[in-house]
Amino acid sequence: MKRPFTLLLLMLLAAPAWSLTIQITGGAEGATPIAVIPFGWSGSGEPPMVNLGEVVATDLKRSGRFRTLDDKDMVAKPQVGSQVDFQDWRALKQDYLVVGQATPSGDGYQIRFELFDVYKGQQLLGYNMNSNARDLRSTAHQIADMIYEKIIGQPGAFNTRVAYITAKGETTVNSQIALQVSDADGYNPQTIVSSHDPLMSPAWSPDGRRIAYVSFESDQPSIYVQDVFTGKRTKVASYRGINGSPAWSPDGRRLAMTLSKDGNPDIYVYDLDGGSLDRITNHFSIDTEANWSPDGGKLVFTSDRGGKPQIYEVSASGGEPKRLTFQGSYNARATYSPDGKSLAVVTQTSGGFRIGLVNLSNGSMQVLTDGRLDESPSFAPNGSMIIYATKEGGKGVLAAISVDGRVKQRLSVQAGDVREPDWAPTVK
Amino acid sequence: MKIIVRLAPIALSALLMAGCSGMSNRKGGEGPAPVAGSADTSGVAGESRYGASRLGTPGDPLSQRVVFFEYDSNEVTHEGREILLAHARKLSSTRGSVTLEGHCDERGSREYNIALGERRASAARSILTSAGVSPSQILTISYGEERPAEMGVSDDVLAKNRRVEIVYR
Repeated sequence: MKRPFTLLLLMLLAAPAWSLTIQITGGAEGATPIAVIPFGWSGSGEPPMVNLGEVVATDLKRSGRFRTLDDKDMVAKPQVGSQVDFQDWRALKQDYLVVGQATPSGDGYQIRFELFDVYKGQQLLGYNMNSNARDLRSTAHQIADMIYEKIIGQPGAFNTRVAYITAKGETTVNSQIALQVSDADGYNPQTIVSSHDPLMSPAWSPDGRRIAYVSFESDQPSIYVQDVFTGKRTKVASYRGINGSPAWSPDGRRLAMTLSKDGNPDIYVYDLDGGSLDRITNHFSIDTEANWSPDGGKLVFTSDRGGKPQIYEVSASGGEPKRLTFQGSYNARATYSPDGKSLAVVTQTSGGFRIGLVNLSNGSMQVLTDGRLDESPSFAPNGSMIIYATKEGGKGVLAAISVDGRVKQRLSVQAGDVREPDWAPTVK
Repeated sequence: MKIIVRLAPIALSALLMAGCSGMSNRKGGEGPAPVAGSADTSGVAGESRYGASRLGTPGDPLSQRVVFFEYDSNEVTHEGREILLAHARKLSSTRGSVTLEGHCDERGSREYNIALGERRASAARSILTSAGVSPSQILTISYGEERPAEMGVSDDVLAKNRRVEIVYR
């Protein structure tokens, strides 16, 4: 029976849906101590709704690389460099100090911030930035990115987004499935597709403008590519059988996908410009969940050709696949780290399905998480963290863990299940 | 037996409803849809005169539209085969059409489960076609773990979610 057409396409910046809350768990032993003073307000009217200092501190803390000073331990609250007495912060054993101030500027704000090396008493960063009520959190994430890069020596990934699927009432006629996009810390969630039928496997394009996903809105699954900003979309695969697991090539011109049109699930590569379709694997087993190496030369995928699901690697132009995982009876859904040196996978342990990190130089695996049903790992664009889906009290929630496994944070929406996070690339 | 035969029309429709409400409560189309439902009912009425009392028996395979599977397996059980063969006989005589929906429990990765669900649907399809049902009467689709019959984490719930649903179109 044909189901009524129930799909809605919404543009980004439409009304926010369920809001997310964030909770950080796990210690940060060995993390760098930093004091981020709540930013001051020098205007006459109401101060901004968002305190940028608090957003910056939360970002730095959740990276696992920093330990932030609690408000109650701050012996002073300087807003500009000239007010800082470095002795205070040396006594509190802080390595770095961040101060800042917002002032009204036209319809928006001017945000000034400074980063200091406490021991040298030296300014490392000092900037004025323009912002407005809508972009305040984004400005704060940019500041956190600048601080992270200055101290750690790698780009930050705070001013980024994630896409994910939410679901309510899945066993009923009125199931509500949505594809949402939010900031990487879970704030500002916005629905870009909603349906009564399953939506799956969101994947950001490398330019951060488009998302490929699977929708069951017609009588069979199809792969769509949707412009995140305009809401315009194109159906790119709708063959008989499975149309799944879309994965963008690093140059954004090709999509790897799983199709079963020729009998059983195999990996194909679709050229988005030319429209050609190349078959990469040809085996009677299940081949699915392809992911590109950062240099675009290779694909990893899940196959049960050896009896149980394991991770295999194949040249992006085809050829004989090589098995990569040997530890454990179930390894699936591999994704390359941005430096191409490791793979995050879903691995079955005696306690459940967890996120594992496979070192590609020696094949060893480190299990990072401890859930019953952890899945869908996705790296932050700077490789520092992995966002994944887990269960808490029977409900699907998103969590992120630093790649060293030390700091974990949970993001959750107020209602329904959340799953299949995909961390957007950093777009300059 | 006599009593059962006399009650067959009522008992059977009750059974069909019961069989569907537990497993196929998602959408109207999966329950006794108007067309498929009436086709079923007329078939029953026709057969009941010729020893079709078994159709009204609680264990009758035709009253069941769901076939269950073991974890990470697409092997159809003996019971599942009986159910599928009963539907094969029905489909061969009525020339009706079905969609075989493959489903998985929540364990394992989602896209792998889509592939596993397709394997289950294909296994069910093979049994129907080898029993004489024309391939043109059968559509298959896999929902993987995206459409659980029941929510929960108990072994019982997981077992109910590893299934192929036979949906008359």
